[in-house]
Amino acid sequence: MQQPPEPHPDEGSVSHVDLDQSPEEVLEYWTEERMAEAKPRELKLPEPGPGPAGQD
Amino acid sequence: MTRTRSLASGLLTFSAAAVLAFTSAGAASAAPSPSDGKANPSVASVSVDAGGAADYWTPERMQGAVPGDTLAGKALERGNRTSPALVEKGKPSSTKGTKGKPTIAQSENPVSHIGKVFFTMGSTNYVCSGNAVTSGNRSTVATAGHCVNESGAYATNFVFVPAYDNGAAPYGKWTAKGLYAPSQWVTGGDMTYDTAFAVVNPDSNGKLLTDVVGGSGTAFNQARGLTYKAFGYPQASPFNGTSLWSCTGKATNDTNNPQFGTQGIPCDMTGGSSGGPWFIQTSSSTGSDGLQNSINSYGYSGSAVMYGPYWGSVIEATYTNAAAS
Repeated sequence: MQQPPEPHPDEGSVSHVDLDQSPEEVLEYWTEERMAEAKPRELKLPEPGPGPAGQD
Repeated sequence: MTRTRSLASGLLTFSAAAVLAFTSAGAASAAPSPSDGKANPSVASVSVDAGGAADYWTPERMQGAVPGDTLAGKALERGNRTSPALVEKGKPSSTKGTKGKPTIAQSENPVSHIGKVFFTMGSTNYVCSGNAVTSGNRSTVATAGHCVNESGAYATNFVFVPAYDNGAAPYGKWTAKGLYAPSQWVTGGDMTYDTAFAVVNPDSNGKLLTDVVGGSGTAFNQARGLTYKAFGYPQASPFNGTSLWSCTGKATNDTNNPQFGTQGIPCDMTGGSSGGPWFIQTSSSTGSDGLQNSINSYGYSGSAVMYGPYWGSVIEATYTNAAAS
């Protein structure tokens, strides 16, 4: 399994990582089957509850 | 001579067609046996176990399926016939049509600089949306922070597919060489900063991304409450991730979690649209021609509102670093 790359040390408000994978390696990885089966990434927060009773 | 069929023979043909479709496609399970209808002796029916049928129909099998008119031809060859008098007896009847639940999101034609992003986190492959933006390196893609980094761990196998449409990649696949995100997102998952930028490699001909697909201008530190058009490739039900969709609306603050500083527009796009661009809409700049000023970030269960982060100075610094790399 590909190990997550290590981010660079703190650079103020921005974090970044240089990826050392070759383009050929990544393109070979993404077969039609893998693209079709990739899961949609989603951030769904819980439904907000009703406010405190008795307050308008 | 006019050929007619009775209801019974028509349904038998349909049932036979269903059986043939299953068997000719490889017969994942044993064909069901037809049974005579007890309520109406002229009707035949079959019970089909739907379990596993959705899994069976992979994109490859759907593409390789034989057109149904082949089966219609075979039915005609069998020569089932009946008299017109039998077909026409009975009182006129009809049933009302129904419409599926409409979505807020609108279907769009592909846009050259908007696409899907694919990546791996841990051992799981994911898909999001992204947009090529104007930059000094002509190779920068905007997306969501949660599409490049989770709990401090960056994605691998990151690739941008502009103008993706039902499996087609008309501008190729662009692999990332660097990923940039606000430190507040990477270290703490702060929803205020759910934005990231990927810098992609040149293509196999040495061409740079925005020289090929174009790039959107960007805007930061703008007024709140603007009107936006958001794009993305929603994949979770009721969508299927094959094509581009959009939502348009005036942004309002997230009153559930005001500490995020985010804004929302009416939108029911689902998972897969994350990272898709929000363009400012003005009288002179509409649709995907507007300046990008946010991304699809999150929603609430049971609510049809898409929220995006406010692009202030921290996200501007992230863009500046990526664009100059």
